[in-house]
Amino acid sequence: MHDGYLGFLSYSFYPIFMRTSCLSFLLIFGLGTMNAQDIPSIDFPKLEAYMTSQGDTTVVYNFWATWCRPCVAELPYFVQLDNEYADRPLKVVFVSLDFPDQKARMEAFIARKGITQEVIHLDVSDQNAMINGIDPKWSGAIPATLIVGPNTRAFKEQSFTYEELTKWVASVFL
Amino acid sequence: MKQTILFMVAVMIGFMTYAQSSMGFKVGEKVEDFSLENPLTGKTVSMSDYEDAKGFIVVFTCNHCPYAVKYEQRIIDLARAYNPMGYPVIAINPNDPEAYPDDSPANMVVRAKEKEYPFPYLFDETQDVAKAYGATRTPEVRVIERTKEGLILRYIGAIDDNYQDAEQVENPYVAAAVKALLGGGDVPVESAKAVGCSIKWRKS
Repeated sequence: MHDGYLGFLSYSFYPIFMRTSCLSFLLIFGLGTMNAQDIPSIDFPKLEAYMTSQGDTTVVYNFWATWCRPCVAELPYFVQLDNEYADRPLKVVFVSLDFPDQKARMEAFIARKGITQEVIHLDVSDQNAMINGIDPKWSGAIPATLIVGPNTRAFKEQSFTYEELTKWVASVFL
Repeated sequence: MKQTILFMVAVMIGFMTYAQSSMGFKVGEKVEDFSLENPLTGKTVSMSDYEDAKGFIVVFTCNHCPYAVKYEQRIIDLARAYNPMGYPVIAINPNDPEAYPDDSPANMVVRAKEKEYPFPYLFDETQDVAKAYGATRTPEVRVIERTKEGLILRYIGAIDDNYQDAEQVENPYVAAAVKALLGGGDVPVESAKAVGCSIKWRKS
């Protein structure tokens, strides 16, 4: 898909100035997309370490993927939730389960949607341990959401409407 | 004393109904046969059609889910390996095609033909089979053994432990379960989870 960008630059009949201006355009365009957040790919132990290092902040971890339509549909509700709690110690972190070879696509998606909440890319090939570690009730289907706070842990394997989400969070966030 | 006993009985009944209502057949339990249409042939297929089968590898899968796509070849490989050994693969699409037109019976036929599926790819129109088996996502497997007592569930869950790379699999859960059953032994791992696409339930 991206082969086309640089492929044509190697055609010998393009004059040098065309090549330079195309490269400049690409550089500027590229820099624009590079301003998007850096999304780390981590394994499950690293995710657990992250989860236990959040201090007093309650974190709502939403497990999703670009190819999961119900996941994508509910992302805006989580963004809205995050904004609503801006002045309280609660934040949303999106945990992407996109395949590693689709990571760039996921990053482009996040940039396009203008999502500024933290996004983590979870790269785990042995998923059984990860799924049970997140919650033994989880079947592994997404979307799923885990809330971890200093004194709370709650999990739901379901899609949310905005109302359902805020109601649940309000009941769990102390 | 009477009140305590009454209370305990109530709790037990409550627990039993909860256990039965959650998540379908469990390992060790008898499962129900099904009768589902194969869109490719227009005929219905049941486990009882396979008179000589020793058991079955039932796979809930679909066209659209990227995990199902990743596992498609491995499902075909399981069929090639175990169809001749008495454990045929039967694939069931449990999704609502209104939610995902990619998973319509017509598209199932296209895919089955394209990949020359060596197994029937059935359409669970009412989703009753998916519900009875407690299926939650695709792809997801049930390994069933045929015994004198009936069809017994022996394994629930993932095909193996590495969706990314078939070469790196350390635990081929389904193959190991079937091999153990063929050898008259116990299934080493009775259930394993994997990420998948949630089943698209009908909005009725």
